[in-house]
Amino acid sequence: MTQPNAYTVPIAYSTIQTPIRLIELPPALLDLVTSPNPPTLHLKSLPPVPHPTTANPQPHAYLTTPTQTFTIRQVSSSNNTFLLRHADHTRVTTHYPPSIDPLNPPEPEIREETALTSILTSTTTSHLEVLPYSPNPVATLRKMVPAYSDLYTPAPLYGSKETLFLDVPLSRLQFEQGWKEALCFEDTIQVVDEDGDSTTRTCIWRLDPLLTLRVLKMLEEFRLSEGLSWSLEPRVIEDFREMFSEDGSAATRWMPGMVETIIRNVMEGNVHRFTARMALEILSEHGAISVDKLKKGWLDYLPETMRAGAEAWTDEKLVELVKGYSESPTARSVKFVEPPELLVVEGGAAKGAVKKGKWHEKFAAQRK
Amino acid sequence: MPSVPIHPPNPPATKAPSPLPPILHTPTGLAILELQSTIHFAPGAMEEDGITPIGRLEFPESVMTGEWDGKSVWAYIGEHQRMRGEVKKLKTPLGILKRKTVGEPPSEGVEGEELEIAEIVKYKIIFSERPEPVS
Repeated sequence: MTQPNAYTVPIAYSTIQTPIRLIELPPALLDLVTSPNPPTLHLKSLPPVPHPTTANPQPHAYLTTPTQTFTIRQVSSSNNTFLLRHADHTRVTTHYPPSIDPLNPPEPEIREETALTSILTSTTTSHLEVLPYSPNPVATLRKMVPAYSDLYTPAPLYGSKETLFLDVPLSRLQFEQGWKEALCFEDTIQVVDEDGDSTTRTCIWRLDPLLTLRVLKMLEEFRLSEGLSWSLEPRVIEDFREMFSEDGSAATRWMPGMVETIIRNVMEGNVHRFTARMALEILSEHGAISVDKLKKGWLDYLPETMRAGAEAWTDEKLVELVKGYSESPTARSVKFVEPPELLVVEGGAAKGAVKKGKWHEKFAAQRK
Repeated sequence: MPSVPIHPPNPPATKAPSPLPPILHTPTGLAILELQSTIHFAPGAMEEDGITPIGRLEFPESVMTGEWDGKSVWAYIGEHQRMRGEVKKLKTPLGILKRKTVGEPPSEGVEGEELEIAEIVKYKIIFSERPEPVS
């Protein structure tokens, strides 16, 4: 029974249903998509695991903005959620006027009523929950990108920087930061297929510690002998290429991407930082070493002209330099470790870390 | 890892008409209704044009005077059932994701798939009580 003076809206169901997904928009995302020039977001997902287990769970899907990454989880509901679209809809009804003469009933009236109608055009029983996630871009890329010490060992990662970006759960900003910090580079190689045809393929690597330190010494010695400056100008790169071709050893095959990455880091003032980290990775391969041994080994790896200043560094300063890639089992020793997969947010746990025992704690609290 | 672009909302120049109370109005006129029930149709009840009337939503007169509390809304389904519902503010606004209407070749993505946030809704109408019979 309709209430007096009620305001009514007809509702109808559309047999042609449009598929939709509902996605939560937490404050950071909401502000972004409602800003004056909102960016395009990206949904990235790994292929599903055929038989997921606790040790090998179904991978997450990821939502990336230009600067942030979120994980996405589907939350199902026992309720049906409908999307309403509004349109004028004409409803045709048949009315039978009361009949005085049962032998001659009046013709039924066909009435057409048009009203702005709420039409149920989509149905869903789930929505996508968006959760904060702070991946460590360096750790992600170090895991995916092989270190270059030889063309085929380890197996090269075919593809370009851009195709790699589509495959990693990182935003553009995080990816660029990780690419730079992990010392990644692109280069091309010749690949012979089964038919014996040679094709050029782009591959991605990151700098290998031992090879990089050796190449750095070669570049510095040549630079000094030829009076060159550290530069990425084509003529300078060409001079370095000629030096490599004269060297002729397989281990120093001309890889322009590798050389340019080394030169760029020298020009940006990062030489002490990346060489100390590489020295630590090489020297502590079989276990922790003393800080004193690290310092001596690092200075040996550095070109002579780059040792100035580093020799006067304190042990504390050196340990600080390799922070993020090291752990100190004792006060005087240090060991290389891979950077953590998740970044720790100030004042809290790593974002993306699973809170164990949450549901048990919740039900225990309710029972009290 | 496939990467599918999600385009931000592109509100129309003029607001689409909506018969619902102003609090539920959105630029595209889309809204969300949640039912703790399932709608069943009798055989042969579906209309030929694909739009089958199922009933009406009823709001008190105070909707138009601005005094409505958001709690009183009824859904009349068919001739003999009604449910009490309410308008609830969502804890987290929801984006409605739809496949993007492709007019130009897509810039990227898996097999040309692109999505868009068609609308952002902050309120929903929810009916969580059992239907009651009406004469």
